[in-house]
Amino acid sequence: MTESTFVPQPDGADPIATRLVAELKHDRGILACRYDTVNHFLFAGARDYFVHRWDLAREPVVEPPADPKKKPKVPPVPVAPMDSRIELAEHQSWVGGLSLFGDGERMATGDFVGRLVVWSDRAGVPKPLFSFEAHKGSIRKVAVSPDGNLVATVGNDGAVRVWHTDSASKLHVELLGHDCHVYHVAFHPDGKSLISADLKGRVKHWDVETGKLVREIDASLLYAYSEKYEVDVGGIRGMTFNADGSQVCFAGATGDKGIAHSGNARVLLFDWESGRLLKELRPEKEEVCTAWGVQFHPDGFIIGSGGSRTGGFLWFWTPDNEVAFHMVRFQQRAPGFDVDLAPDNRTLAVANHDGVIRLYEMSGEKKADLAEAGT
Amino acid sequence: MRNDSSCNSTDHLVSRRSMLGNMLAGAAGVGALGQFVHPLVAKEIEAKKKQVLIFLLNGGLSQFESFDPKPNTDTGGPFRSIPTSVPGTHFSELIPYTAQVAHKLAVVRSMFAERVPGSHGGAREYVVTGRPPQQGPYPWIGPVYSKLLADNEDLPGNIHITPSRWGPRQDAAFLGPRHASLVLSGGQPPLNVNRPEVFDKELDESRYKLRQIADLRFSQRRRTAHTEAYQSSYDQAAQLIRQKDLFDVTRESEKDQLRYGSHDVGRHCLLARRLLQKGVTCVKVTHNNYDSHMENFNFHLEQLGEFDKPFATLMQDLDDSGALDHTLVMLVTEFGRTPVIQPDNGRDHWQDSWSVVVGGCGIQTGGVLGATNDNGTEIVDRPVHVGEMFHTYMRAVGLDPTATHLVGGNKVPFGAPERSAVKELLI
Repeated sequence: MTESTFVPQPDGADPIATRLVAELKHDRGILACRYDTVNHFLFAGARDYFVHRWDLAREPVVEPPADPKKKPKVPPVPVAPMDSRIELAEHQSWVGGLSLFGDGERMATGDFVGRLVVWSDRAGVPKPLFSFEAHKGSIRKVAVSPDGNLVATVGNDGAVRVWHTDSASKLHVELLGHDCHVYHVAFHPDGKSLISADLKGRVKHWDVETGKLVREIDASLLYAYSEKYEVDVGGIRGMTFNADGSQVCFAGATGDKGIAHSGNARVLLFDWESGRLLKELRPEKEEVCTAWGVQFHPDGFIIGSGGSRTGGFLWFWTPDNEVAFHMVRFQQRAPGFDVDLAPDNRTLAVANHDGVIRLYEMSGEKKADLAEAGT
Repeated sequence: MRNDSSCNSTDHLVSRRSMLGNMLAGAAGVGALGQFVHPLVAKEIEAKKKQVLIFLLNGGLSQFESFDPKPNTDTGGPFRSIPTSVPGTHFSELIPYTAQVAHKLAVVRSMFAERVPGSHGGAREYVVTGRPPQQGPYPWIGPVYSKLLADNEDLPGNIHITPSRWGPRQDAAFLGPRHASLVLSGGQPPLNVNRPEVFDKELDESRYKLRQIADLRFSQRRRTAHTEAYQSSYDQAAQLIRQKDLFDVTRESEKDQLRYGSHDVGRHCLLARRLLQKGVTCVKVTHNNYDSHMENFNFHLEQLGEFDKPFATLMQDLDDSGALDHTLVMLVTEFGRTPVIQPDNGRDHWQDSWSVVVGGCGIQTGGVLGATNDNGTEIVDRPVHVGEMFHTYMRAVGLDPTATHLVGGNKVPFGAPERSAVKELLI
């Protein structure tokens, strides 16, 4: 690793100390995960037809070893009790889009056959408030506006649609302009702007009120046209603003390695106002894999998750250095498709291909209770 | 095995064709072919009218995302299954147009083969020769059809429409270069089909005749496979120059060009229809990029999104014109893809079970043969080996797969002798 330019704050997170503290197990690959910032839950979408909710207030348990006579080489990781998870049925395909309202009540989810579901009572017994086909083909991501009045969806039909959340299928505005699959969508923290990002690495900045295209941001470093295979490869897989909206990150991979291998993992850091690329963030050693998830940490560093069949990773960058100051290589060869930061700002949830959400603590101290992560 | 193409000379072919032509003329003169021709010969003549259309989905089509969907299982992927024109049969939602012509097809969901050396190349060869590649080289099925079915001297017997950057393959093995695929890379006409401007037609013909005289003199003294190959190449080139319009898909109506689509596979399918209509015996269309170790679902969405409509349109057109009655259609791929979804959202190679589709002449359509279990990890009904399908492809057009090629004095069975045709698929 390069010399760290990051110095942990006295009571802040310490990425160098990141360690696995618990596993939330499922039997299908996890595609998206989000902490409930109001309640003690973690929600996830997976390669099945459900939205999953784990109750983080439940104490994780250490599972007995398969062979009691053999002492494990490494201490077993505590696992969330099986009955701490409930499944919410409404979807008709995999759930890859997941966004929680700030009201502590509602949640929006989207699936691979275009169905958008807005749920109520997410802390109790969640039920669909409304559910309809919002896109022809897959919904890739959903985003809820900061005031909770709108939900944006993007999908394979190339459309960006913004819906009112007070009634079913009431379209606020349809934003057209992408000519390929749209992979990601996010509201700016001010709620007035929306960005959508596509397979070709093009980011469109829209005015939420008028639906007008304001500008385009070029993140096409994360895209390649494969001359050999005559196909588009790559795309923007992860996307997030920092808290004040002054910066935005796009995650993906650069380069063309055909249709059998990913390019090299990258996170692009942009200045929002100017639309200028500030840094092309990369692992210290090039990894043939994709960065799928990205988050800003309030302590000033950036977290990426990703991987490929060769392994899964967490990377940590400071905005002033292209090279990651720290990396966590997962024990399992499973990419982290999504990463979310707990309200305590010390715990990370990573959605893994192998059907497990893993919770990592960016701290050397052992926490007694996972529920603290949700408070 | 010695590659001896001299037993397959042009002279032999011409005399054989002349014989058949004379027999046809004679039979027509008395008005009733069936009454005066030996049944076996009549069957062979019948076979002569047959044409074959082969689709190769190159790289390994996923059976889950096409003809054997397993939605809402641990292996099934994100796509739904949809009903087809055959009650009770479902395809993936990625092929809605093909689903509408399902009654013109027979689906085999229980294909398998042993793993063979050479990854894609080896597996592909196994599918189109019916024999493990390490035992070969054996001729691919296109050249076999060219040899056994083609009866028009003025047309190539076997044309392969490929994505760009595909070159010619030595797919004829001991059948000789005359039957090797004429490759239309990117669906474009062969290079240099236009006569150089410095030669007018008369001068060009004189030049051609002079070369023929020289060739004849040379071959009377030293006859080798090479001279056959050169002769064959010149003959084919002359044919192509005479018929360059054959390859010009823009001569098809604008309406049809719109129906098939402006992308490559749309143009290629329309070109295939044109070639079949003009009488080419065997046309193969290759569509690429199914080798989806990474992003299987995205790539199948893209590739099948292109392929589905032109394929179904071509099936419909062949049916409407009556051509399906004498045209065998095969949709093959070298292997399937793993039930397990890999970390890069991909599926790897899988030779334990996959799907192929056949239709048209000689085929019992509108059904599904074989089955895999609930999540597609194994075959649970009527396994079908690639060698059996090779026999089936032969039988469907009235050829006897147990008959033999004569190679250097040795008899080589058309199909692997230890296999036989899948009777359930044949009419």
